Amino acid sequence: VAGLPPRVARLDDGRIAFLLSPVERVILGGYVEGLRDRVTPPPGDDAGEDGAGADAASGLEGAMPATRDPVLARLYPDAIPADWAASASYRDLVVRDLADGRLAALDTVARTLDATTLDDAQAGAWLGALNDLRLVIGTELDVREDDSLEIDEHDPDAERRLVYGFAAWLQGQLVDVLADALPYVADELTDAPEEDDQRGAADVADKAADADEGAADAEDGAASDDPA
Amino acid sequence: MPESPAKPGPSTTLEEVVRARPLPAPRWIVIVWNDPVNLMTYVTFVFRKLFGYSQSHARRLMLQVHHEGRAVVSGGTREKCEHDVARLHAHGLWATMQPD
Repeated sequence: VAGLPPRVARLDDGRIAFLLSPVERVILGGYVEGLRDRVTPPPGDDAGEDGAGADAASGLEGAMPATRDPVLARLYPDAIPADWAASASYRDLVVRDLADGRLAALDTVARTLDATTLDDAQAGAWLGALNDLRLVIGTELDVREDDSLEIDEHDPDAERRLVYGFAAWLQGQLVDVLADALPYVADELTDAPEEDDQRGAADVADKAADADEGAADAEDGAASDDPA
Repeated sequence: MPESPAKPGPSTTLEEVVRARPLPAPRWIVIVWNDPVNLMTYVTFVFRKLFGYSQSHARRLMLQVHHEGRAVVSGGTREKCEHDVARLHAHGLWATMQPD
C-alpha cells in the first residue's frame, strides 16, 4: 500500500475529503455489506428476546466461551472472564445495543459509499466499520502481529489479506484526521490516574521518557500502521 | 455488615472511629488486552476519545498494552466499569473488568 496517495484529508470547510477509487468503493462496499451477518449475534446471545429460555441459553453461552463463534467472541468479549454468570448478564445487558451500533455504522457506510466528502460522524462510522471488518478477517485468518505484509498470490485468502491491509491503511488515515479534531487535554489532567497510588514512581520515570516524546512521535508516524 | 460509625465520646479513640467506618463499595478496574489487529494509533485515539486522556497518557497506556500485554485503563464502581467496558467493546477493543 505504501506509495499510494492518501485518501483522507481535512478540508478548509471542516469536512473530510474521502478519495477512494471506484474499484476500492465497490470492493470495500461488498465486504462491509458482508459484515452485516457476521456482527449480528444469534438470538441465543440475547436473553431479551425469549424470556427464561433464552436466559438459560445465554447463561450456557457464558459458561462455555470456547464453544462460541470466535468472531462473535472477539466482537462481544466476555466482560468478566472469572465470573461466567456475570459475563452472561453483562452480555444480556449490552449485546443488543452493541450490535445495533455496529449495524448503524454499516448503514452509514452503505449510504456514503459514493461520497467524496464525509462529516466527522460519518468518518467515525467508516472507522468503526473498517475496524470491525479487520477484526472479522483477522480472527477468521488468525492474523498475528508479526505476520508479513507480503501477500502470496497463490494464497486462497490473498484477497481477504489484501482488503485487511488496505482497510488498515485507510483506517490509519481516518484516525489521524479524527484524532486531530479531539479537544486538547493537558498532561497534568490525566497523568496521575486518580485511583493509582503506587503508580507515582512509575509516572516520574514515564515523564522522563516523555522528554523524548518528539522523537517518539516521529517514529510513531512511521509505524502508524502497526497493530498495537 | 459494618456497624454504624461509633459516636465519638470521651472514651472513643480515633482508631476505633476509623475501624467502625462503613466499608466503601468494592472497587473495580477495567483492563484492555493486547490483540494483533487493532492499530496502535487507533487504540490511542479510542483512549483519548472515551476517557478524555491527554495524548501522551493515552499513548503510554497503548504502549503498555502493546508491550506488557495489558493495561488498567480506568476504574471505579462496578456500574462505571461496565459502562467503560461496553464503550471499549463498541470500539472493538478487547476489554475486561475485575474487582481491584
